[in-house]
Amino acid sequence: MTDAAQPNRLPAGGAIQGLIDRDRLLAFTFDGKVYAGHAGDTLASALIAAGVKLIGRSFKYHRPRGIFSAGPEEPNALVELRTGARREPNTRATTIELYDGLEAASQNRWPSLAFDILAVNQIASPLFVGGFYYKTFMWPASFWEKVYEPLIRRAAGLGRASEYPDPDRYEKAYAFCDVLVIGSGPAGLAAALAAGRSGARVILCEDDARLGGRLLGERQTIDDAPAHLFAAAASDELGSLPDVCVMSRTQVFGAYDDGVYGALERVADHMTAPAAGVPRQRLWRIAAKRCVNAMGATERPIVFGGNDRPGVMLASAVRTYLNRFGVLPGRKPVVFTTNDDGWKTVADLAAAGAQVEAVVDPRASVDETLTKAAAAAGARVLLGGRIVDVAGDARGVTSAVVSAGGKRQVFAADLVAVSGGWNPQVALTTHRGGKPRWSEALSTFVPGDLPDGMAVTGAANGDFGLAESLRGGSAAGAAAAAACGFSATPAPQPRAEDEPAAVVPLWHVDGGRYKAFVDLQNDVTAGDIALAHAEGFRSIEHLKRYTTLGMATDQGKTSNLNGHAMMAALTGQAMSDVGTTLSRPPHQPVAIGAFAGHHRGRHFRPTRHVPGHAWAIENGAVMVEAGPWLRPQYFPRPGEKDWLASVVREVRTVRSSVGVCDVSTLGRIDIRGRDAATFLDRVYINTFSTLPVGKARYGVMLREDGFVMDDGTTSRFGDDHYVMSTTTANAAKVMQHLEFCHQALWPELDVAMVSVTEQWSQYAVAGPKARELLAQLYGSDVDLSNDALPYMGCREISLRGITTRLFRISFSGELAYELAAPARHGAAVLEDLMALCDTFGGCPYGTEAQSVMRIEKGHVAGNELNGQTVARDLGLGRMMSTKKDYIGRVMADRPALVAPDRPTLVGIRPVEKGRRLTAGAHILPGGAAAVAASDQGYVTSVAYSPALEGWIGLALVVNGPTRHGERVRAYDAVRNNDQDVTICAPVFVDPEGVRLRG
Amino acid sequence: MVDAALPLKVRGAFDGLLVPGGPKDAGIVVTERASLQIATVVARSRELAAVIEATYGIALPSGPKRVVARDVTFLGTGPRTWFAFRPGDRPLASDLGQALGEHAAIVDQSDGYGVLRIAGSRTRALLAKGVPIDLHPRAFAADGVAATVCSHIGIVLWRSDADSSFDIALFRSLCGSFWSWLSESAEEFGLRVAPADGSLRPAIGP
Repeated sequence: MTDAAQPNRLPAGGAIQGLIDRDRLLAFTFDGKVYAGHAGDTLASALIAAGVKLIGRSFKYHRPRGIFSAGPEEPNALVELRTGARREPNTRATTIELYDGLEAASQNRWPSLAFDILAVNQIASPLFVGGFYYKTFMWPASFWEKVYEPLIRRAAGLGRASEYPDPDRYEKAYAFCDVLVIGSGPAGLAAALAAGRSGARVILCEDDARLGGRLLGERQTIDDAPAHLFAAAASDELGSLPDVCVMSRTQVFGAYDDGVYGALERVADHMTAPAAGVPRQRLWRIAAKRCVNAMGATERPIVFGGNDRPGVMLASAVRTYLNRFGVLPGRKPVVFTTNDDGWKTVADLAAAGAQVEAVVDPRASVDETLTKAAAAAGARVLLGGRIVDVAGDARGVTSAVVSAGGKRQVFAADLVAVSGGWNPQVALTTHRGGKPRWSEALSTFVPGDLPDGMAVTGAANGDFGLAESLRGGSAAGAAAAAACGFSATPAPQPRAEDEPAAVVPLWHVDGGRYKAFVDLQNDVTAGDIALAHAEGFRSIEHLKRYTTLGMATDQGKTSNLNGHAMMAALTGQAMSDVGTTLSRPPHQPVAIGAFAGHHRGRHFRPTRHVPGHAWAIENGAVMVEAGPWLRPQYFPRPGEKDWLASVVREVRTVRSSVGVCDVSTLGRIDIRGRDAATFLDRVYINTFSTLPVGKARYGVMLREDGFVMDDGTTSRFGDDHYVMSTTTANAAKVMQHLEFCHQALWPELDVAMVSVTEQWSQYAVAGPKARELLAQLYGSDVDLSNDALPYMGCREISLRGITTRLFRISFSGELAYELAAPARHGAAVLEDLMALCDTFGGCPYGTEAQSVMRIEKGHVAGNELNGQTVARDLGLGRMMSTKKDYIGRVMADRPALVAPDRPTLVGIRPVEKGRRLTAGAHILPGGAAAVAASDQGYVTSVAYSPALEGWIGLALVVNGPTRHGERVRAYDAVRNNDQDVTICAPVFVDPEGVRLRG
Repeated sequence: MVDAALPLKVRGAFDGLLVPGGPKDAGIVVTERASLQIATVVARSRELAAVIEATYGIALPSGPKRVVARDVTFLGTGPRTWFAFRPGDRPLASDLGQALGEHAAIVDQSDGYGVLRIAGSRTRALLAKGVPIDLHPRAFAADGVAATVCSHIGIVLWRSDADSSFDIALFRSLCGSFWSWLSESAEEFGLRVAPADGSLRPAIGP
């Protein structure tokens, strides 16, 4: 039965009918036209069945191109798959599983595939030779960005991206096994069976949807039955073994350190859209104790005139289309092969009903069985021959010109099947730095030094025979399992034959009329190789950059070796000296989305929420990121025209009444032990052993190099119990530092520290009404008077049966407390605090108001604790104890760090009242030129001070403390702000500290 | 308005995130272990193991292992450090403090962590999407513990008693991000949220 819609589909019941499911018909469109195929087809096989030969236009010359291969090495048949947000350019028609409703479009053509205006590039082709970017578009230089590059990009596109956000989900996942088997051809299946039967944990990765590799594309037999049945049986058995995991549609794309492999699982690419909850693709990180690499080999073409025309196809691909897909790529084929394997194509084509016109082999003589079989198929045998040219047009091949025995003959043909031999897939063996080794016998590179734990077997190792693949795979699988401690039960080897596989090298047939392409994807011709040689780009790495040989989606899988061999012939080098270009992961294209997995958009990294988060959101807070935390930045109210209006109102409210700020994000570290006091004395520049129980003290700690690391208050709750607070940003770093100090420097100290940041929620309650507010919260039986809880005091106080901690500390300069409550009660305590706050006319305040108030008070924060300042720079030099040793003490005394002219903390105010200051401005002496030589420091923090009704700032200025009152220039070239400012003391509000002791 | 007569309200780490329900045949079943008393135990003396053996009759593990002493479970989470927990309301930190005296520093962490039990036929397939360690029974024993990460979030992970389920403890502030990862990753397996095993009571002094 020949279907009119599928004229090239082989009939059911014939000698060759393929492995497709003829009962399931699938409709699809290509360039808007509707076609039909079957379940089990690829887009490529369905297009061949439908009689479509022209698939796309080439990258540079816009030459008509068809389907060249039947696998991931495809250089030509690139299409845009799907539409709208799921449109994906440069997908290989040979790897796209057909599904019902598939939509594909050709790319790189305008206005249509059949009539493409830019095909005139072929006429202008002398302009587009290797290195044309560098030569043609160099002058004038200003034209590059505006004129040349956009022009080239439009003309030489590789399809269009969707331009919409990716609607699909991606995942990352981790897998572990004893033995990873890559590839499920005969060698891979044998390896997986041997390892799996031994009880080892095995992962078998197969790029294809179906296991079997070449077994699906050849008419071979195993145990006297078609080889694809062996693959099916092996697949069933592997599926039944509990510790074997078969991952189809999974491409291992990279080998990394310590037996780690990267793999991409195409979970839903064979459907219109992923099912609900299912990712489109999943990126696997597979850690394997041993790896059996059975990735097989890629057939290499031969370079001759017109070798890019639709209808020139790899011989193995022709057999795959026949035997696996049941489609006939041509009725009048010519076979051109340098090796015995290619001759198989003659018999397969004949069995499928094609009239093989000729089989051409450059060898003067071949095994008699080959010629007999070809003659039986009715093919002319032309030994010592070569195809010189293939003629044709956008509709495909029309004839082949063969040179043999000193004369040229023309054969009418619609298909040219080509085989130059096989190249083992060596890429994965080189990712850890191994170099492939040249094999004279096989005329190709075979794996050299292997990554630790990897064995290579089957065609990937240059063992191309079926029997030797099965045998080698089995041995490699058993050996890998044995290395993991599992002994394989010897099993009988399946019966199979090693067919003849002799080969001679032939890279390029010179003397054709038509352009001969080395790299079909990048339109690199034989002439470009010669040109690169003539112009001195002779190293293969230079050749690659100069001509783009081997770049883009196929990474030169069908072109590199021919190109390199042609260069070797020009330079007279041996292939073993030429080597290969460096191959890096990924071996095949991987979507960036797969590398991101779940972590995109707001999930880019985890977000930390305080217990009061929901309250802040419900009350209209604008949130700001503080490291991974979200904190309320300010709480806008109706009628406030901008953030500054809200912040000014919040500051005024705190300074006149009371405000509440969530400070739960500050780091809290519980420190206990008999030596806790000694430990703190050694990590802080000031002394904590003298701190009485029930008191808090501000502390500064240094790095080993003497620069300030962090600051915060530490409170003493018992003789051997302190609670340290750190800045939000440095909480984890300080914890690590303390652990290091204890474990590595002073393990003899009896001290233990535990992060309790998450155990407690904490709120600053600040303002003249703070005490009254807390008195109402705690109730009348709790004494919060100055005597009971003085400035810098701390106490545990029961709040309705819950133990809270109350600290009388102030960052704002007001009468202030910080109340810590267990996190489960954090939201409730905040709600109660805010309800009481309202009754005092108070308000919540965010990080902006907090920052304004600390600048008004001259308290340093992240902008000043920037890793470049020592304690003296910040006006904290007097805290540095001279009576004890502490971390950073010696290094902080280095001459440059005690030099009096170091930039030191000062305040600044604009000379012109009302003018806005900007942080980052450089301080220059009055009247000095704005050059680096005049630089005397910079502005670290600025704020609008409601108390002073003007902008204020903190700055680090050379000889700062001696220059109060001096007028200098604040020069901010980035924000174009140049003004005079007056240096002043860095405390703008209540310098005597009356309010906070109130 | 603030009513001082009422106890302070309690909010669990996964409040507002976990809503009980989901398909019966779900491949993943998540239960919040809401009523655990948790404490960090850091050794201060070499005699700690001996004291624990005398008090609880168990050998305190020195590596990433789990031991159960009567109703208290100890997980080894670092050098000289254990994550201890006990179901119910009885304050664990103060009990341990009394039992272990100066041999260990005990810090109450009952509010600092959210704890989930992850069960169901696809548990390991789910965890493979976030946890970079091997959880196969041959690699991760029944008494195994790991201080590791899941989807970039620090976790303590251990096998639950006897069956193939796992418990995960993580910092309270990260429960929202963790749940976002878990619920999305479990969707393809079917996700059921079981009612929490107990409820969180007001914190009683340490």
